[in-house]
Amino acid sequence: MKNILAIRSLHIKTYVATMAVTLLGYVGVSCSKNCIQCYACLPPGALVLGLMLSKNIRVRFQKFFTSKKKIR
Amino acid sequence: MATSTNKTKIWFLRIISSIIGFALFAAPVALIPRLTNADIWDVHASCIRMTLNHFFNGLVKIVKFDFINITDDIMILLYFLPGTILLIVGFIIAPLFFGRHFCGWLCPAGFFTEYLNKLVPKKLQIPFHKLDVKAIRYGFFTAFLLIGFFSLGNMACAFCNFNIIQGIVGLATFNADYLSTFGTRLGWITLAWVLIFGVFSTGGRGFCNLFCPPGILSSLCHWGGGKFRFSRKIEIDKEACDSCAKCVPTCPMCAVNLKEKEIDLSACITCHVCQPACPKGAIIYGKGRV
Repeated sequence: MKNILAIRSLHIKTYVATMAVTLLGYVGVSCSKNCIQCYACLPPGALVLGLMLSKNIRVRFQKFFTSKKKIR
Repeated sequence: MATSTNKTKIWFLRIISSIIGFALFAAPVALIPRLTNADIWDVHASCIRMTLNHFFNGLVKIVKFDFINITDDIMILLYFLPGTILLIVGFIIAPLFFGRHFCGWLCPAGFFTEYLNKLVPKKLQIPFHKLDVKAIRYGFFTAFLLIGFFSLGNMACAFCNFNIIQGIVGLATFNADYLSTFGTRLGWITLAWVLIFGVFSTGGRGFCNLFCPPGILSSLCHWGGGKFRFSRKIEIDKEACDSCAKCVPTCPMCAVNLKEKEIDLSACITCHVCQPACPKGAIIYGKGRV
């Protein structure tokens, strides 16, 4: 039961976080007051969010770079 | 109920249909805009993002009994008439009854990243499907709709992969007009999105899976329709399946859940690629539950 609740809570957090990043990025709060709606703030936010949330991606990148070092 | 398919036939048909998709929507051919005598002769004539946004805004105004301002939305829907028809038929009605055939068989933007992904080594492909895909997908989609709902603007042109693909195809056909696509920071950022989330994602359909608003709408319709017996969908026959996992890497949307022996209908684009991969013939396209 605790596990299910934890998964659901993470699911909701991700949902809200993605929504917030998209909305904030669009409104342009994170860059300047004179927003020209270039949306430049959005992709870094989404990417950071994705990389922070994904343990699998972190592990994959780590494996990729460590295996390269070993070969050298 | 089972369909007799083989890998070569499916891929041959998909390649042909992708060429038809490009010819129908994208310049230089752009048959649909020419047939409907639209003002713009490229993918923008049948824009499904703009129509989706104004379709939703119109619905909200109906609920609010705001029948005066609804004319703006109706005018936009009529201006992008091919896109409006495509949205209603291809992204709402068809997924409810038959599956997401537009995404899997006609979408030029989806095919572009999927085919380019075949050139990317497996080691460099990023498994975005291992993220909490549904939360990110529907979170982005909610924000896309909320921006219009709160009258903050219109996000239809932001991160439009169709625009980027049209720009690339336009430049490849020596049309200098499409240089403007990459003349803005937004153009370059969207190109980066298409490359990172599309070309470099596992299966090549990461962008479709996470950030395509009309695709997300059709995924909701297909998932909802899948709950009923009248809907046709791709399913795994749990008794016949021996969990050999041969179907898993073939799915461009990474929709196969081998543990549960299920196909995630909210991700499945009904491309039928998984069917010939199954040696037991356990993957079936048909009505009702298996």
